[in-house]
Amino acid sequence: MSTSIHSTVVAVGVQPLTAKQLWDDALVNIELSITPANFKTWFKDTHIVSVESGTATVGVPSVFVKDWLADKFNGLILKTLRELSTHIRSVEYAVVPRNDRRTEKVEHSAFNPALPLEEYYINKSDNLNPRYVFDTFVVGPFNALAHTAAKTVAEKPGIAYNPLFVYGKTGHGKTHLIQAVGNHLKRTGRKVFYATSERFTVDYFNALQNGTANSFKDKYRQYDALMMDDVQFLANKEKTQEELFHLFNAFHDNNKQIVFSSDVPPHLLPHMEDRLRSRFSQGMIVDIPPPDPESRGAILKAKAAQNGITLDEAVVNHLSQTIEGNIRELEGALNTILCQSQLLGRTLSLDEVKQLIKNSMRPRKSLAVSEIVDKVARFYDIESASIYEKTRRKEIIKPRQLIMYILREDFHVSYPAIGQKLGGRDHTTVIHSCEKIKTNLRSDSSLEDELGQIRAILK
Amino acid sequence: MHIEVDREKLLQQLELASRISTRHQTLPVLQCALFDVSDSTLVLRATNLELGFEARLPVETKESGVLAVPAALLAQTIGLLYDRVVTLKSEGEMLVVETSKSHTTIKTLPHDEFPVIPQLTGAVQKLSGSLFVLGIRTAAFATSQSSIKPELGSILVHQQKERTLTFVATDSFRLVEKLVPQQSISLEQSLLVPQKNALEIARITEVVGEDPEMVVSENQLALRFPSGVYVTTRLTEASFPDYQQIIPKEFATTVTVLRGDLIHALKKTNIFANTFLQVKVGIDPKKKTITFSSDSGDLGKTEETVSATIEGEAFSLSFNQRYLHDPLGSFADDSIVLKFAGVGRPMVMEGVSEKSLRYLVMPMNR
Repeated sequence: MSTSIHSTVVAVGVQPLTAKQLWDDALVNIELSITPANFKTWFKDTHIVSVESGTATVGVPSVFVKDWLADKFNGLILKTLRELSTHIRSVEYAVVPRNDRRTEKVEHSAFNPALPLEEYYINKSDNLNPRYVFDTFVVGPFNALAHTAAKTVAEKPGIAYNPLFVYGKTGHGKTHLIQAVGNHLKRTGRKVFYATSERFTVDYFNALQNGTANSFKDKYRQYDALMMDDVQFLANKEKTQEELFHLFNAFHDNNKQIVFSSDVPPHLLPHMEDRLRSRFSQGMIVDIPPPDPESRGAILKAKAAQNGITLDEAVVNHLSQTIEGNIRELEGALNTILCQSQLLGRTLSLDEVKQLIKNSMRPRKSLAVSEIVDKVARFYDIESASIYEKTRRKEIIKPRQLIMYILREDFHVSYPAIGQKLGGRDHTTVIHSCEKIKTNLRSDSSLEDELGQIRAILK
Repeated sequence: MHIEVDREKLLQQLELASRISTRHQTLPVLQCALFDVSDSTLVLRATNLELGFEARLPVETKESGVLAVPAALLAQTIGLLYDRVVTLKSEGEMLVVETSKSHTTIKTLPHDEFPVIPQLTGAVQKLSGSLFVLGIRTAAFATSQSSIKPELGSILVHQQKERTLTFVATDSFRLVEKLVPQQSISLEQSLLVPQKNALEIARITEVVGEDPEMVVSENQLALRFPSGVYVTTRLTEASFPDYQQIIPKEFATTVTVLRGDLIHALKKTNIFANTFLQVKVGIDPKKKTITFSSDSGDLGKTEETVSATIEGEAFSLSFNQRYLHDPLGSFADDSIVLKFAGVGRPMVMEGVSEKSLRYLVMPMNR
């Protein structure tokens, strides 16, 4: 057999054996010249990585094997390889991770569903989750603007909007969106890095502690695009903020794309340096508000389709109207239904679904009007009673209008009901108040700040 | 080889070595400890090709040399001797173990097949040994026993905050996360240490009782102790899921309960556990109670009510009771907080004030 191989090599000459064939043939010869025990212990799971300019690199499963082959069998391996391919002059060994991750699907017991970890495997070199791409991002009216902005950035990085600043509450899809930008840029051959602001902080702290601040700078500056998640956690970290400021300038000056996410818009970020805040605002700021019922339905259908099932229209309607929280909660409810229908081996009826998710619904935050009035009054340091009175004092009017606005916008109370609850006012007065606040919010950022703070109190 | 050595010191290292040495189908020498004597130092080595162990002991050398002897056999023998000092000398293929009143000969194996223990080089990090052990021990129980996903059969060691290391393990039904202080840590990559190896390293660290230096390179991790003990392990080369994404951030109901009460209730429900080890947990905010009940069907059923501080709505869920019970011993606080995010979503368990340990567990379906 070995002669026939030999003749192949000689006959073809310019077209030597492929690396894999070469190693397979070498293994056959090596097996004959050492004990079976030795062969099994040390040559199992080896392969050839490359043959370049006379050096063959052999991939081995562990350092133990690497050291042993280099120490004890180097001569034999080299001799065998040279017999098969004369241009090989040396052999090197490299530890190549065993590919022992099998792809079999784990059978979970129908009784005990698993944590949804499958969805969160990330690429080690850039921290991106390959599942977060634009194709899996469900677009609805609520996030259409953010989606368009992100798409534009992904197609024209560094030019369109730099930085892109995405903000919204937890579970609205910020991370998905900014990682989708990252994954898109990665596919177009750019070096991308995704980091949470916490990771960035720890890296920087370590670099300072070890006196390796320069290599830290180099590490981050080598990328073509940077996605930084949850920048609100940089609050109070002046040093890290300063470093981010410099990093930002380095990226921006070189037209490299930066994408930030946060739970609040830049001007509401607490304990953040003004110069950094103004950098955040200098590109494009987009908000991802909570999904509207229609979008919730679309998301549910898309998630169900990803899981290979179709949901009844009535079930989708029910779920999208009753679960008002974030997208993760929708997924949670969907998982519950999935598990239960697997368990029963059939699709569930609407009544069964209703019964099933009764418990998974978060209690709708319900506050009495009087509580809201009390809290807002306390915020502005005025008497609660004055809100209900007919007084038109300036310091009372504004809080009163704000309360009306909040009742309308956040708690969806009808205009007549608001008027009635707040001291028997006409509903047109309420409409006027809400419109006034709406208009003022556009121009008056301090009013927006106040509104944000009041909403936080009401939570 | 011919040496005189302190019996207790030798026994301590030999016991560590014998836990690593293994009967290997094709490489019999792996059941041995390798004795390598030169000058006045004995270097003792053992490996199973996953873990490598090395210890150094001062000895009275009469003749240097190298030999491989079955580690467990020798450890057992030396464990039953009385004298303070033991004489070890090679006679042909045999190792003679001698004290004033005892004489044993053990057959050695050819030592030239004994593998080289990889010596790692690179950046060195000083660890607090006892806290490193605490991290491993706290997380180890939650790793997966199945070999299908090697990353879940490993403990994730990574740095998330300044001056701390975070240890994480999950078998995909529950997840444990433990933070321990490490004053001078600076770890950029995350390490996946196979669970068995991690526990062995923890044991060695505990027995040695010193603060080691950690080196990481080429899918290997090594700890080097001031006294000369050195241990190295293979790391799992896989990626670990970004588990933080699945930790709920908003909760419907929060229950605070005494840890002792919880352990007691679960012990009782365990008696009447069914095949699925199902325990029903009912939360009643009005009565301020949390009720645990199990029903074995054949044997009978039991119910235990525990008083609790409850915020949020009434709730009823089922869990695998072993999953609830497993982490309870690791909490330092007397009071535990159970945070429920809803049906089909993980429950979070934390200490009331001690936040270094966090545990996630998936509820059962019905």
